[in-house]
Amino acid sequence: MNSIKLVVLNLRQLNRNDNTFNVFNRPPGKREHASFLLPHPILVQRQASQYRLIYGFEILDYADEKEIDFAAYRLPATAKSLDILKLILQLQTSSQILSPPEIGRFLQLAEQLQLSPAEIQTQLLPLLHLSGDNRLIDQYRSLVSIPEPLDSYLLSRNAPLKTWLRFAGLSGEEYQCYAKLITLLKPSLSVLDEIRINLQEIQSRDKNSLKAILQDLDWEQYLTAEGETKAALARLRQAIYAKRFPQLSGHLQQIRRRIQDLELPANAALNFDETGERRELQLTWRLKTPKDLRHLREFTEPPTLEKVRHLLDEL
Amino acid sequence: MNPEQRLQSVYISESALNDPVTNQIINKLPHRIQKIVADDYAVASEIRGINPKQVLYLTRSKGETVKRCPGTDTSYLCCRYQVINQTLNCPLNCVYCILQYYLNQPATTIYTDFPKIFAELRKKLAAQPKRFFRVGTGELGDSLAYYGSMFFAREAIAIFAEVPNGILELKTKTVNIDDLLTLRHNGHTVLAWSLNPQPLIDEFELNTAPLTQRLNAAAHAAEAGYLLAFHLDPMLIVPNWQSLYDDMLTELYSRIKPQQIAWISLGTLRYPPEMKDKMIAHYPNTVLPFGEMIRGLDGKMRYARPIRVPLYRRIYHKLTAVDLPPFIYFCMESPDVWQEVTGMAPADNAHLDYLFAASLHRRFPGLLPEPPQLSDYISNE
Repeated sequence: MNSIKLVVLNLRQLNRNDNTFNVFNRPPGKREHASFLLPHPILVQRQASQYRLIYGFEILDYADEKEIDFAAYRLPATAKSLDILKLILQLQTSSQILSPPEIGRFLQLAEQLQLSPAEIQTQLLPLLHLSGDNRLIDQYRSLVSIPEPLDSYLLSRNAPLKTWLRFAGLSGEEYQCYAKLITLLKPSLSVLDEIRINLQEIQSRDKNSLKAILQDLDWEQYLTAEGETKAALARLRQAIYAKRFPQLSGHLQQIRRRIQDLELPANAALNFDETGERRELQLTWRLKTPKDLRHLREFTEPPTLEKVRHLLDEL
Repeated sequence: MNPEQRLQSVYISESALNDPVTNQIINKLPHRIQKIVADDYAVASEIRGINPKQVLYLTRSKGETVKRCPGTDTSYLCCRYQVINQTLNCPLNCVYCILQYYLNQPATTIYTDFPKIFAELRKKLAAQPKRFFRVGTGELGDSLAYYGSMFFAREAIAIFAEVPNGILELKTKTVNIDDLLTLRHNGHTVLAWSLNPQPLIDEFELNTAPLTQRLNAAAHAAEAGYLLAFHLDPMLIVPNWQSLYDDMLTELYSRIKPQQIAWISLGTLRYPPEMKDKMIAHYPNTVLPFGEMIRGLDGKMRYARPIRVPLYRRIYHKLTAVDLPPFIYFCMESPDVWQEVTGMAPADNAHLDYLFAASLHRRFPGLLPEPPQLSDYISNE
């Protein structure tokens, strides 16, 4: 693109309805007029009597200040879509890492502009430091339809691609369920991910809908537990885990009950391998006072040891 | 349908052209695109994106082909089985099979340099004459599914008939044994079948022979004097596993006498964690990845011990509740599981290897040249 020209434009000259190229996230909040500094150059292209924005949509944050003049680079009307996309990608990735849905929107734009899969794979993906086939492209594209508030939630927590993908392509009803969950119980990203994986696997295993599974779990009771969000979330996780791993969770509960029955003092703990692979108990006992020693001696007396023996059998 | 019919093209490396088996294989596969390539030709570059099950590559082996079974992490006991990797890949489609996800071969590869492989085998067995080796070809492929594997099996049977301290195991989910029935094996070949209940075969072992046919084939093999083995591996925990496996074991013992069985292995489904997503992608409707699985001590996903032990117990007790039961062992299981199910656990892998030999010596007099000594197994890793 040799014939890029620097032009001075006024906001009124922009066609603000054309959002074709508006695929990258903009930082929230408008800048002060005093710091009229845009992070990137503005690229435009002549469109009838106006200009359409190609890059630098931050300028629209000043849309109510119609008298502002600004410098922009005008791309030739004949510029190839591929060249334009490469240019804006280089500009955007020079200062920030793209989020998965931004990549998805960008790849969707490439498709809209009728770039071939080969062009996308060989020319654009390398600029994104990605390599893959149509499947990967489709995966990214599937992220553009994740609705709010889930989209903002995942974005704000820098969710990795695999987590985004778990939430792609759900039904409206399913999105509503997860929206409720994140709004009311405010799980961390890892907890949300765990809940999603377990629910998804229950759905696949039982060939059942999310709605039916959640009804079965009576999950509304957890969402409406006022003032105890953390505890409610913990109980919900437990209930979902128990549904995903019914036998194992039953086994673990039984072991935990047995350990509780031993009534160990606060400075002692009996741990076990929750995967069940190691059939052993691990006893830790902090000894500081004669009382601690007495408790330890009591623990080693036959009635308690017999309980521990039973516990070992049950492991 | 013969699964080999799916082969669309055959690549032959120049050196393999000189091996007699190459012609034998090609004659069995008419109307396929054939291409002769240099020995160092990168077949992968030409057939990228094509299902490796559709391309056959006949070539000579590089490096060792007779190896110790890789087994798994030391937290689980392995039996020190020896494998001959002569065929790499399998035409069958088992949903749970790791080969279809991880075998790093662009094509189904068959090594044609039999004399070199057998020389390697002889050397390995001769190096430890007091140890009795179990050697199999069914690690990276089905022992009898491809013509190339079958030709190898035929020659291997003849070799093992003359080997005093080894026994060959041919492991399959097919019934391709007709060509083997008249061979002289001298009792040193075990024909083995992987077994699962028929509804699970229908759902998870695609393109394989039905259970009844496998057992019929086993019965024919026994009539031909072959020792038999069965691999109940991977056993799958599905909602009605109890009745499914009960029925299968009833059918097994109604067709096959326990005295004809050299060994039976037990193992439950296990796979590397990364395989889960691949399995879901390949078979979107399968329920296999959604069992109650944990990450085991070797990093592989497996059913949690408190869940798989009841399955093992039930199967083990059924298999041993007969006169003169076969030798039963676990594949890649922990000493804890051995102890819980059988009441004993081998001290280590060498001990397990020895227990095999001791059982074969006791149950099949004359098979081993002399009684096995534990010390010969401990000292030879």
